Amino acid sequence: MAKKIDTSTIQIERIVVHDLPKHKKGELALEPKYSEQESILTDGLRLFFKDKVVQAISSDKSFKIIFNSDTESPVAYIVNHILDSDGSELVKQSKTITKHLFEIQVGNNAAGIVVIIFGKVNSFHTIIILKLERDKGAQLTLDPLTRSFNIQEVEDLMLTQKTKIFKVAMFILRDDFNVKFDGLIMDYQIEIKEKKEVTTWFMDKFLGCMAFEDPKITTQKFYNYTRAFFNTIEGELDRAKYIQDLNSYIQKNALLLNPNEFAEDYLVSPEHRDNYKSYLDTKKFNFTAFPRDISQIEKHVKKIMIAFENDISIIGNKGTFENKVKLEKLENGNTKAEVISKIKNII
Amino acid sequence: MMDIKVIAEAWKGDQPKYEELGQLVNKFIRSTITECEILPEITFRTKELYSIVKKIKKKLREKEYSYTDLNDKLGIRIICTFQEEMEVIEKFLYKYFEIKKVERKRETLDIHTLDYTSNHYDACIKTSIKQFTKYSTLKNLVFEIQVRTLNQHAWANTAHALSYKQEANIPPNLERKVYRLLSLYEIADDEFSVVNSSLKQLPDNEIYVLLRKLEGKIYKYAQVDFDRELSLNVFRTILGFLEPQNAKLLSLEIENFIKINSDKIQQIFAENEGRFYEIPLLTQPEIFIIWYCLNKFPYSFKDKWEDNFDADELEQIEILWGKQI
Repeated sequence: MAKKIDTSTIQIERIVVHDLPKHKKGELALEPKYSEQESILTDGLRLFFKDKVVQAISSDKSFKIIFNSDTESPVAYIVNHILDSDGSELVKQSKTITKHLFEIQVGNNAAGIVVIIFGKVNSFHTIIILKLERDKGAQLTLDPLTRSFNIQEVEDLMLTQKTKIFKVAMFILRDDFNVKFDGLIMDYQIEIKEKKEVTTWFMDKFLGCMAFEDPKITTQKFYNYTRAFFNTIEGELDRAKYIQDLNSYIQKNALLLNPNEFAEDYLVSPEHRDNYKSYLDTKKFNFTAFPRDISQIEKHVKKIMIAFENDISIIGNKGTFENKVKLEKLENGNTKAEVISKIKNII
Repeated sequence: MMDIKVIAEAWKGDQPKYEELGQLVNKFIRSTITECEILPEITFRTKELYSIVKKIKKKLREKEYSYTDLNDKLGIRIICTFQEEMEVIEKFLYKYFEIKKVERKRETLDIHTLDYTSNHYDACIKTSIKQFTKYSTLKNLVFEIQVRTLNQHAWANTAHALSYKQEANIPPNLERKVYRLLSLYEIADDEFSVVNSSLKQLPDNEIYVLLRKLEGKIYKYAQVDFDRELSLNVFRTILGFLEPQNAKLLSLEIENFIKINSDKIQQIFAENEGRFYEIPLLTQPEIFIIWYCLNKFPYSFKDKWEDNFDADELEQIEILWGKQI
C-alpha cells in the first residue's frame, strides 16, 4: 500500500550551496562558483530550511512529478544515485547538477543560488533541490578555508528578501513509499499563461521531469467528484451556483487546478469547504494542484442545464446563467426561474 | 567506634561519584517522568560530610552502623501536587530503577498517630536502561529517592524549622498545636485529591475538563509548565466559535488524536524545543486542539481563528504539522 509523504517528518541532514553568476547563454568564460564541501548546519538553520521546504511543498502550486525517460537531463540519474548510495558523493554530484543548470539556461540569466539538501522524510532518504534568484548586490562568500559557502548568508538573503523566485523539488525513491511518482515540485513561475502545458525549464529542461498522472484523467476525476459532492449539499440554489462556479473555474485560463483553491474561492461556507475536503479524502483525491486538461469533459462544462419537476428545463452556455437566469427560492419550496430575453428559436 | 578520618577519606573519594550520579538521575527523571503526564519538582543533593558524621553518630547510639550502611549519601526528592501521583511515580521508579527497599511512611503509622507520610526508596540505576548503560561504575551506588506531595513537603519543612523532631522539650500545648496543624495538611491532601478527580469529570464544565485532559500532554511532550489563564481564554474562544457538533467531536476525539499521532507530536516538540520562545503556543495545551481542528475542519477553523487570533501564528503551527501528500 502506498505511503503518504508526511512533510512534518522532513529532516535536513546535509546541505551544499553553489553560486551561479549572472550570465548570458553560451558565455563560456564564466562558470558557477562551487562549494568543495558541505556547508555547516546549525539546528536553527536546519529548521529554517525545513520550514521553507515544507511551506513550498505544501503550497497550492506544488504537485507530483515523474522523471521523463526521454530527457537529456542528468538529474534523474544523479538523484537516484545519491538516494541509493546514502548520500555518498553529495558534493561532487551536486556540482554536476549545478553545472547542468548553468549550461541549459538560455537568454540573460540573473545570478542565482542552488541549494542541494540531503535528508530524510518519513525516515527515508530524500534529495531536495532549491533554486533561488538573488539580487545583484547580494553576494555569497566562499570561505577559503572550508571551500564552502556560509549557509547562514543564504538564510539572511532569504529573510531580507534579497532573493526571489523560489523553486523547490523534492525527490524520493518510489519503492520506499510504494508510489508511482518520483517527487514533488513547487515553482512560483509555473503559471505562465502563454504556455499550453504545465512545464517550465526548471521542471522539464533542468530536472527532466513531467507531471505525474495524465492531466486529462485527473481533471475529469476532479470534475466528477466535485459534481458528486454538490449533490450532497442541501439547497438547489446553492447547488446550481456551485455547478456554474465549477464550470467557470475549470475553464479559467490557468495551467494548474487545485481543489483547495476552488474551495477557497467559490465555496461560500467554511462548512461546505470542510465537507468538500473530507469528501475528496474519501475518494482518495489529493487536495493538491494538478495540471489542467479539460479535453475529456469539455462538452459537459460548456453547457449547463437545470431541469424542473414540471418537466421544463433551461439550458445555457457557460457563464450565462449567473447573469441571465434569476433563480429565487419560494416559501413553498419551489424555485422561481426568471429569463428576460427575446425568443430566438423554438426547436 | 567511629573513625572520622576514615569516613572523611572515603567520602572524599565517593562524593564526586555520587555528585555525578545525582546529576545523571536528576536529569533522567526530569526528562522521562513527563511520560506519566505529570510535572513534579525534582531536586537532588549529596550529603555534607558533617551531616554524614552526625547521622552515623546518631545511628550508632541505637545499633551497629557504618559509613557503608548510609543509603542517603545522595538524595533525590520528587515533589508532586496530588497524592494519587505518588502511585504513578512509584510505578515509574520501579520501571527505571533497581528498588532495593521501600518505606511508605503512611503505611507504618498507627491509626492514632500523625506524622510525616512520604515514600522513601533505596535505589540503584539499572544499566539496562539506555541512558544509564555507559555508567556501569555507578551501578552499585545506592541512593535514596523521596517522593512526597506539596503538602507533605510543606509540613516536613515547617516541622524541621520548628525542630519538633529533635525531641526537644516542647511544651505540650505547643506540641498539640503542631499535631493539629499536621492533621490539616493530611486532610488538605485528601481533599485536594477529591476536588481534583471531581473537577475532571464535571459534566457542565467542558473547558475545564478539556484543559485537564490536555495539561498532562503538554507536560509529556513539551516538558514545561504552561500559562493556565491564557489556556482558559484560548479554549473558551475556540470552543465558542466551533459549531456545537464539532466542539463535541473535539472533546470525544482529542485524546485518541494525540495517541495516534504521538510519534509525530514527539518529533515536532523535540525538533522545536530550541524555539519555544518563537512559537509560544508549543508550550500551551491548546496546541493539540489547533492541530486537531486543522486536520478535522481546516476551513471553518482557519476562518474563525483569523477573526480572533494571529493568522501568522496559525500558519507557523500548520507548517510544523506539515501535509500528507
